[in-house]
Amino acid sequence: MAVHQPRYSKEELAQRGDLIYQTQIRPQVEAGNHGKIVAIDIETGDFEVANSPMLAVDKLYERKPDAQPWVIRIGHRAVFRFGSRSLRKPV
Amino acid sequence: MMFGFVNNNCEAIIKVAVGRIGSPKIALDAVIDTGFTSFLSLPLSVITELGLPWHYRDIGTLGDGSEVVFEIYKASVIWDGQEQIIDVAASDADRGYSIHSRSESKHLPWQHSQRFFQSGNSCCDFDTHAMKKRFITMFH
Repeated sequence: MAVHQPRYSKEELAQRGDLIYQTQIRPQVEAGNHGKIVAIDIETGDFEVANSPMLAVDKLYERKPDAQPWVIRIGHRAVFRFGSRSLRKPV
Repeated sequence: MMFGFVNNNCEAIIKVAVGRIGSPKIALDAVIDTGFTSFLSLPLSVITELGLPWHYRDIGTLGDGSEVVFEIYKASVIWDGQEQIIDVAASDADRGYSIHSRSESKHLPWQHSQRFFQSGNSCCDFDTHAMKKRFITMFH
């Protein structure tokens, strides 16, 4: 299995990924794919759409082994959510 | 079928083995929990200890509606006797994540979600909706 490492800060990867999605990818994928996952290589703009993050990212890595994947759920602000307990402070 | 128990804090517990794909796994006690819609999440210290490979980044919504970028790693678990490849979200104690309260977890049906934690203060949760491939997380 290839070893992947992030080469960008969280903020930069998220900003670049969101920009690519909004300007290049969203018009291509949004119709008919609500709720599906898109994995974007923020360096090349290549992307894959699948039903799960793992499938989308693995497909992207197959084409772009050096990809820096940013993952978006189409039509949603986030890919997943935590419950209210995520805010509880340690005792 | 899987069996668990309820601990002194009224948390429903189940054991799950987690590790790097193709490597030995460690057994974690899972606390059944809800409110999660994604995959297993572990403290970064546990992820580092297991040597899980980085996979990608995405956004998760916290309980207050705020959105946070998460590092996602890849792992395998033994679940109901079967090995499954899963995504693991790295938790960050600095964000104030904590173990779920028992008042919430004790009412949760087991088929919806679970949370694991190790001895000490690290823990994790995973959504077991339909007991398939959805796992999630927790932290400190």
